[in-house]
Amino acid sequence: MRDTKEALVRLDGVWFSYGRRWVIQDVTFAAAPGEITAIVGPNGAGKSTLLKIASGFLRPGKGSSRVLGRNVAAMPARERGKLLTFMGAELEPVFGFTVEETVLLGRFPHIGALRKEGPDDVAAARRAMSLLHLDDLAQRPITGLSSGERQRVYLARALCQETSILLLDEPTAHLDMAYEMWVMEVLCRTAQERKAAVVVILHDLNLAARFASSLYFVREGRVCKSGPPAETVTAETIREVYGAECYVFRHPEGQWPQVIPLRPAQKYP
Amino acid sequence: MTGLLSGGRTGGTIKKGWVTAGLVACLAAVIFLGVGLGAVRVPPREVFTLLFKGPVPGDPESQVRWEILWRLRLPRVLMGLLVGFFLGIAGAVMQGLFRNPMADPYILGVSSGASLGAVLGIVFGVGRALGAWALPLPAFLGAFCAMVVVYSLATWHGRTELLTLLLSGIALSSMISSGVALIMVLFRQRTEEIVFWTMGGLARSSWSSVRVSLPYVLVLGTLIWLLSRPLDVLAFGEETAFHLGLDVERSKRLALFGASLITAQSVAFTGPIGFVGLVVPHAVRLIIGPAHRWLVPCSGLAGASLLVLSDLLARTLVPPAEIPVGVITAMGGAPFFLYLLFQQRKRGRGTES
Repeated sequence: MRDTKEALVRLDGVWFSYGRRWVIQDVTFAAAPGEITAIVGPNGAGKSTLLKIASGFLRPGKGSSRVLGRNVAAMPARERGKLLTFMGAELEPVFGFTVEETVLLGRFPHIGALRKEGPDDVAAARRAMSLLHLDDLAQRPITGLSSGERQRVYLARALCQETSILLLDEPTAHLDMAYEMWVMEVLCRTAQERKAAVVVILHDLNLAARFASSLYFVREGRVCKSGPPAETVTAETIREVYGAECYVFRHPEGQWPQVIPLRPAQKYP
Repeated sequence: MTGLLSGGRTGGTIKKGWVTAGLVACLAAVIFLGVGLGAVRVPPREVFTLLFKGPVPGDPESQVRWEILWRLRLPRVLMGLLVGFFLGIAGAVMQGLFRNPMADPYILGVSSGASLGAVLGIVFGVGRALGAWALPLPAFLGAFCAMVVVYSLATWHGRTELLTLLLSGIALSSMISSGVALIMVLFRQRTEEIVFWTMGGLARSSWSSVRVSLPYVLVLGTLIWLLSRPLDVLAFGEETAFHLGLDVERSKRLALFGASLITAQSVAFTGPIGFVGLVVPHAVRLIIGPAHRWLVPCSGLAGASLLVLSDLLARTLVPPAEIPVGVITAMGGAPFFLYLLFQQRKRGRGTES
């Protein structure tokens, strides 16, 4: 991609399998600082697997996964936690930690097991919580929140980690229309202010086309197409990757492409 | 609501401080009662002077009371305190680690391992030469072996899978239990002794058992308390914990090791005492929340109070007989637990917090 900028996250010729089948096949991927990189594609394409390889949670069978030029799987845990955060499909909470306690756990890599939270940590948590409008929920147990509210809590925890790499698996899941845009806006600002590389998996192509600087279309474990939205979000690409017919046009307020789904390419038998 | 983030201490912190103080006071009161009450009733003031100043010189009656208090009741009460403390914190760790409020300290087969050890000790009389250690030693070894076996079954390439751990714990437990049952049938003449052991109780407590158990509180209790934040992180699941920068395998190993070892220690001296490790952490969590920094010590204190009180009831309700202490912990603990649960539901916080 944009090799003029040093990529913060880089996968090179990555192959991965959970058992027999290669679910990721020869993927090369790079995310540059200061912008949002979106991974899009149909269900089961391997998007989440890819993101977990980038985070070091899964180790590639072949190829390399690096952050800042270092092998992510070999990094000490806390150092990795200061450098990158990951938010994915979280487990249903069992215990009623308060919103505030949950967000503050994002400071774990900075303070470790033994130290107490300092003013910096409290400040970071406060910033993250007010960005996601959680101030009024601070003392509520997360078990009593709606899934959309909880999604904002986990996002706040990720932001509060203050990393220069953010890997987010469907950050807009469970969110309403306004919060979808708000969260993407927050991520854009975060990328610019921290010179952070933000990688998001999105199902909404319109959000991806609007906020991401580059898109990776993934299908069956391979990257089909990648590049800036204006070049990649086309009716042909969408037909090839998703098997859906779409109408693509320019957004009235800008130059980014927008998509109206028309029908699945597959005929009903 | 004021919080840490709006500057200053949280209202929650103050509440938790009061709860902790209350639990300490409660424990002190229960210890006092436990030492004073029994077949020979000693009034509180005399308990105080006897314990802190010793018997009145030249008064044989005072001397006898001092003997009862110092040699019989105090070690028993202290052992109840220690074992209750152990079970409380081990339960808190297991529930947090397995993300399951139904987990208890015995979930990994430690108690059945101890039972097998003790039963073998009883049947083969290996312990005669060991004197007072005749049962605790084989019981501890049995518990330790069970712990090692379950742990190695679930560990593969340096990773310990929690679900496998749970399942192999359950499998090994039931296998060992059937072994114990088989031994009971084969050695009918020792059945009573075996049943007595497996019901659990504090009757065998002595100063030496207190002395041996005390370091466990200090060392492993501290270790577990220092793991509070990693346990908080782990309560969100291993994948999230990994991404929050936790060395998941190491924290898990330390927590499991600490909790299993203190469980083994307690079960070795008293036999399995049910319910304390299950109900106490859960009840405490309903009151002060799930953060382990508070949950672990408060569960320990509450477990200690519950067990000392239960043991007091066990030996005074139907004198001169003794009710197995596990019966008391369950009978008293369960309604209280249900009360908390319903109270919680009324406040609309859900049943799971």
